[in-house]
Amino acid sequence: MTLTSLSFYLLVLALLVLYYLAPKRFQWVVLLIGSYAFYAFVCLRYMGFIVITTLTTYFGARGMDAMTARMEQTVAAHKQDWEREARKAYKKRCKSRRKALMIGILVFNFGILAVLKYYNFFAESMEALFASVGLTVSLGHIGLLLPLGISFYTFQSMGYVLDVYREKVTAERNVGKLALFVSFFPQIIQGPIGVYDQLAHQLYDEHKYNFDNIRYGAELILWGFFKKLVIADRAVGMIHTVAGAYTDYAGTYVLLAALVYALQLYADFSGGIDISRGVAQMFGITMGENFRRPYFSRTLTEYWHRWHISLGDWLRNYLFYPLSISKAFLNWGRHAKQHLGNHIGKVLPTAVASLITFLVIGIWHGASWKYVAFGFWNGMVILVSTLLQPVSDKVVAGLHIERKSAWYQVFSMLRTFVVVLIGYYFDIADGFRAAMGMMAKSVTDLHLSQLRPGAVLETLPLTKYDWAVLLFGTIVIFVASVIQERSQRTIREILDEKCLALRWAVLLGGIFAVVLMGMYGPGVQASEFVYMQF
Amino acid sequence: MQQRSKPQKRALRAVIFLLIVVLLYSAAANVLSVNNTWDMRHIRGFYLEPQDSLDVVMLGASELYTGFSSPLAWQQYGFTSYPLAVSSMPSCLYDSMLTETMRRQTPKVVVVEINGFLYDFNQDETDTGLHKWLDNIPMSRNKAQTIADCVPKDQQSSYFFRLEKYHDTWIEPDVWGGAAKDQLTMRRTGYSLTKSFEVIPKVETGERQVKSLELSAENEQTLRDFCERAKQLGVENVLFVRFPHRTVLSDPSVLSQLADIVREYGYGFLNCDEQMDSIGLELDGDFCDNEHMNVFGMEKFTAWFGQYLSEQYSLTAAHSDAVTAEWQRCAEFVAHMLPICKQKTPGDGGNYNEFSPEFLAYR
Repeated sequence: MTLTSLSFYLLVLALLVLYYLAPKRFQWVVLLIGSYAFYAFVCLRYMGFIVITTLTTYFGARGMDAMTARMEQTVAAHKQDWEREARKAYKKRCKSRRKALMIGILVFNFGILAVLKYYNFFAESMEALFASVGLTVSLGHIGLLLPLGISFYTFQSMGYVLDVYREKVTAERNVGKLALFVSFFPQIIQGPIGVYDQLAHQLYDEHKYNFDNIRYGAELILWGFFKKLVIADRAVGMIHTVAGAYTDYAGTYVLLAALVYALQLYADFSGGIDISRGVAQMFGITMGENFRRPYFSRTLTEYWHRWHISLGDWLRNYLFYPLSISKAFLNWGRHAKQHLGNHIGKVLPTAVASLITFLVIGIWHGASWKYVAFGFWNGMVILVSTLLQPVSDKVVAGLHIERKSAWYQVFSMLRTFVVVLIGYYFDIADGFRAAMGMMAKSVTDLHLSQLRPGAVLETLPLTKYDWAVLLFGTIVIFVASVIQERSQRTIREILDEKCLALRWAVLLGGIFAVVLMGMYGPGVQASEFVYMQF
Repeated sequence: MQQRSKPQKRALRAVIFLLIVVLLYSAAANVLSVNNTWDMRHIRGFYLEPQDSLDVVMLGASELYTGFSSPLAWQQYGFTSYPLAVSSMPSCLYDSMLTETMRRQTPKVVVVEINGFLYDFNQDETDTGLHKWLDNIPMSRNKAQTIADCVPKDQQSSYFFRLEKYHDTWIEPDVWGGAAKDQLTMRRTGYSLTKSFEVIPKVETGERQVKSLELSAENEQTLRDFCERAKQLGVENVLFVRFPHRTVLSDPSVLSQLADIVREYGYGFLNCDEQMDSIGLELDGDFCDNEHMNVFGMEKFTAWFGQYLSEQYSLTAAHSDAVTAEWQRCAEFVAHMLPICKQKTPGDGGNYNEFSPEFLAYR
């Protein structure tokens, strides 16, 4: 059962009927049953893991809340007889116990993720290291597949634990409701990673049937299907073929495959998120945007504010900011200011925190050195560009370049896209070495003559029709993105203002574009969403 | 934001929109579901025949529409017939075809060409055959039952939602446009002028092919189920026939085995491979390949088999004036068509059918 399968929509339909017919106070129960039914259908064997995460998160958060309450009661009870110092010492003891509990929950749950997702990678890397010095060491391997959505639900529930710890939210008293927050079925496959104070109340609130929610949801799902079935799934085979045997292809084709990958990855991931958001919207639940036209970014930092927004927000809130304002980093910043000057001293700690964050982003994507390199590349570009900002400013000023001019904006977008594209090579290649090999080939083996239509059709496993559909899909996405970027509104909102005939024409066009150009049916192996593996 | 309309109005709009989607989907499915144009013509042509107008219905594979011409048989013996054929037909379809036949016609005899019972197709080949048949017949309980019986569960949806399989066809306007044009022409005429008869303009003179065919346990069961089904539907006369083939069976006893089974149910069996001389068929002149007759063979076989059917079964029933006029017109068309086909055999062109440009003037 995937987000594009008929069985998934039969489940959604059944849940919608139950959801709106059930007494309002039990609506969340319908969602919980649906979410667990979905999870059991797809991943019954590993269901224990999500249950364990839910229970540890629940009891841990309740424990932290209970500690705070006990502390406040005790302090209130001893208001008269405790000195200020005694009260302070007691509070400090309580807080450190609370912190220990929070760390315990994080270590336990991230530990599960680390063992399941990264142990084999760690063991193989260590064995290779020992082998390089002539030692044969066997660390064993884990023969388990990754439980569905483990990276997503672990991050989501640990975000909740941290929010409870920071007293941003109070712990949920109902274990069923928390289980729903952790397992909400539209987002379990590939996010977006929800934030408790934005998502939870929507899940637990009572929702009246609203036709517009169904309509908007269906429109979003349609848009997701277009991206996934028409574009992403049509391109994916060619990309894998070229990346899997890049030495057999001229650099021109390797570069072309990387460019198509940029389109495919965006269509696949954002298409999947659109479907998830559309399904949630049908239940009256609005999930945050996960993409905001990322390829229009003018800097890499901006790109990471527009791409996989929920992961970026999570890491900013729970890793980057705590690191940047940690005592160690602040002290280090003061030290750097004294020795390296004002600018570097000011930005170095932030830039290093950013580098660490990107290394985590890289590792989050997968257990492989190529993902470490992917994170390192992104982090280093941001670190270096932050440190060299004054130099860049001087060059721009010296050349009398108007930063707001259209051509500079376009140049910045292209420059950012190139930087992003380099990172993608780590993603599509089979490994770190292959990524470097592909990059080298893309630069040293470029021949424009190989882009002749005949040559491309002869070399790459895509037909004339495939290219035509990809081009059509790209134009549609580009036009829609430009409209959204300029108006800062959704296409649905814009369409809503148009006459009925135009609205229906657009919708019918969308439906039949998916029906006629989509990759599905007998003989077509349905490809999974790229981010499902993460 | 536009002002919200009343809930009833919005519900009505949604229903209308969904209806438009369903209508457009059905239209697209009808136009684009083209597996091959010839089976499409033969099967859809059968449904254009007036209810209860056929004296003989023949069920089987491609041997039927290359080896027997219904309009010619009408002209010579005065009975109406239709070869309801699916090329490379899997045995599981016989039952479904018989049920469809009996839903629309009350033939005096059902002729079953037995070749389909002698082949064991793999699932892919079976799927291809199933699509050729099921994509061209209207929705009915029989169609749903055939899908349930013959198609693996995970593939059944493509038989109900045909665009699942054929949505890519729109890039081949020659194929779907040509098929749609033929269908429209046939509908406008009201019936098929050749009753699915086609000519492959070739003459096979090479060495005869030797084939080892057997009746597998599965196919034997299918055959028995078919006979049971025929009994259930009250079909009195079923004649199982091995049409003339150039192919030599390495073990001809398989035909006796099959004959014994159908006789258990009181049905007849005729092995035309043994009748080559009496039919007058020449191995090096009357076949277009090892499996099919060409126009010369067809003419001889139609004459012989038409006479056989006329003698064995009482086929001379009165038909309505409309049916008689229809068949008269078909006979005239085929009378124009055959000399041209003979003249062009052997030739290097494609097959000839009622829509070939050579015969447009006679439509």
